[in-house]
Amino acid sequence: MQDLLDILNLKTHFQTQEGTIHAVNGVSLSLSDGETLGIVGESGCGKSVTMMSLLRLIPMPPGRIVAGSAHFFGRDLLQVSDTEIRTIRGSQIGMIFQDPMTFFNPVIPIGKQVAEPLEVHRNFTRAQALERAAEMLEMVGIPRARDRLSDYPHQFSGGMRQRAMIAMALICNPKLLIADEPTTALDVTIQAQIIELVLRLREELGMSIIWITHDLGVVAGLAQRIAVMYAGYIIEEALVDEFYANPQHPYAIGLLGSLPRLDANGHKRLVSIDGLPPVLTSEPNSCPFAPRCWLAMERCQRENPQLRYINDKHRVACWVDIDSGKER
Amino acid sequence: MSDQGAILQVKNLKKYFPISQGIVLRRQIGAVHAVDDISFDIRAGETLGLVGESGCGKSTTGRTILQLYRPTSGQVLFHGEDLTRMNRNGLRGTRRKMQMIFQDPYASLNPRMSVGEIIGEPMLVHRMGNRREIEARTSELLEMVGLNPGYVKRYPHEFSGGQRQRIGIARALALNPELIVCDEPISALDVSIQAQVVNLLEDLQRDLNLTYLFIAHDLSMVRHISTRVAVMYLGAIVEIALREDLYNHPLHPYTQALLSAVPIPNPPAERKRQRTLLQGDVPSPVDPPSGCRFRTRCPLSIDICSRERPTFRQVQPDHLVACHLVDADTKGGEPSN
Repeated sequence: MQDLLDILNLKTHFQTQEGTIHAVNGVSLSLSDGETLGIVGESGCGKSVTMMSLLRLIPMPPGRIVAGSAHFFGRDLLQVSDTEIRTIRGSQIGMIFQDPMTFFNPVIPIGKQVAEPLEVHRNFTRAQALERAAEMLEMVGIPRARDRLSDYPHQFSGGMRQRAMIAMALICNPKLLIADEPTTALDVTIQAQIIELVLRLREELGMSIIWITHDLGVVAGLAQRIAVMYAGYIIEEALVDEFYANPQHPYAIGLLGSLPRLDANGHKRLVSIDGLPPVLTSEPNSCPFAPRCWLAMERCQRENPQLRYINDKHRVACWVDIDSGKER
Repeated sequence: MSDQGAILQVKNLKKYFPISQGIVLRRQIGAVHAVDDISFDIRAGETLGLVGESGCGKSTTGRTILQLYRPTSGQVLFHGEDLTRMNRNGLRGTRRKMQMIFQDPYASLNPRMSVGEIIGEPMLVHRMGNRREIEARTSELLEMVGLNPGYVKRYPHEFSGGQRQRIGIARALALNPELIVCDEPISALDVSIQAQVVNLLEDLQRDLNLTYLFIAHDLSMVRHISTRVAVMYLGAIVEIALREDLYNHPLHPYTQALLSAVPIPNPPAERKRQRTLLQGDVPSPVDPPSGCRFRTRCPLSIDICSRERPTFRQVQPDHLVACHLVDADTKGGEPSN
């Protein structure tokens, strides 16, 4: 079976006064039908830019997609016309974002906004679309949804706005949902509600999901596969069980060790990764993590490791074999 | 409640913010009950974690303790002295012993002041020595928080978020305080940087014998850093206990729901977990529910919960809870009916 989404060697640069920022540096990822992939990394690692690039939502200039392809249902999203990409966004790929307050237009009623994709992409009449919007809002757990279609965004709480955004993203029954930190601004109890909702909708509607987050805990309960990004590179990718039990890249190990655990008794000092992530202004000829890595060897300083399979389900970009401490 | 070694006691503290309407004829039409009758103490050398969701009043509590907000009523006793009765001059002396670290490392440092001026200012205000002494102390502080003492002439924009938070910590340490209120000091930082700052706070506590009030919404981090933990909901403290007790045997239904909502980075465990999902949102603090404030979302609420506000009482040694459903002799983690 063909993959639903196949990203190959994607590179995105930004022109700034300080020079060219290499934000995404040859990312290759694939997603099969019905799969949930978590993309994890700290701010500035390129996880959002990767997704925005393939949706063609990068402001250009200053942004520029330098290389790569992103095949969705066999069509390269980076090559299709502007009209086509607009049809694909909204009807075949749904998106939800971190901040539901800036997502909705504050002077248009929620119902009309949620219904709009149907009018635009599916030729529904206003009345039909609103009817479907009410059903969809009901489905995402907004009580008395029909009465609230004419409410404005400020009349919804943060959690409810997030639900409405999910309703809008899914109203055209997309095959793929891209979620960019959708729960980061929410409280934990509301986050738990939203995750529960997404899990239920995934079951009912059978879509694939790409979930971008910095929270390794959220991915553990949600995704089948995880990709960790650093400085615009994917540095590790594996099935979640494999990754959490057996992380291989020193950065991933550090990231997991820097999390305090709710499920651990006693007190362990947190692992801290010294230093800061780099801002790349040119193609590096060393491992971008080497300056912060406690295992860095001579080779790490002169050659950037490629993402390679260490077994059939686990890819790592590192010269060091974590178990032996020697070069792979 | 005993006051064994308490350096700070909070008694029946309330802070209401008035809501006004009208431009010419301004009148008060209501109040936000941000902090509504809370009592607790902070013991010398401990870290008291204060957790709760946004809008629950945890930051207001921190600020009211330091008298950055004047309380509506109640007492704040620091070494037995009531801060709420002190005037500005009296407070200035006491404030040397109580400092604060703020959440936003970008907004809490004046962009027009150099690092040296930022850290030196509190010492200047409190006349802690001449220029040379202050400069020497500034270098010492920078070194203490893991920054190069050569950075004194630099400005905040030249630093990353984690480094700025270190500058904020150095400023808080300048006056040799006893108590530091840490108001979400790490929530604006990336995960790997959070660990750096938390480790630093722990080292400083050990070396300088500091007491922390650590305000945060990250329950895992609070578990990591705290000696005792207090849980707030809608302006009230619902439970306070030693760390292990609170996390292993939470008694209040809200604490239980809160803990079950935290994702754990362990996929097999995460799939097996039974979640207590709370319905709906937190009610408005302008018009909080009658009786127990949590009753509108509580899966266990009964008749009495809407009529009477539960008293905050000790049910086990060092374990206080405000819930009608918890018996004084409860042993396990479940509230009994």
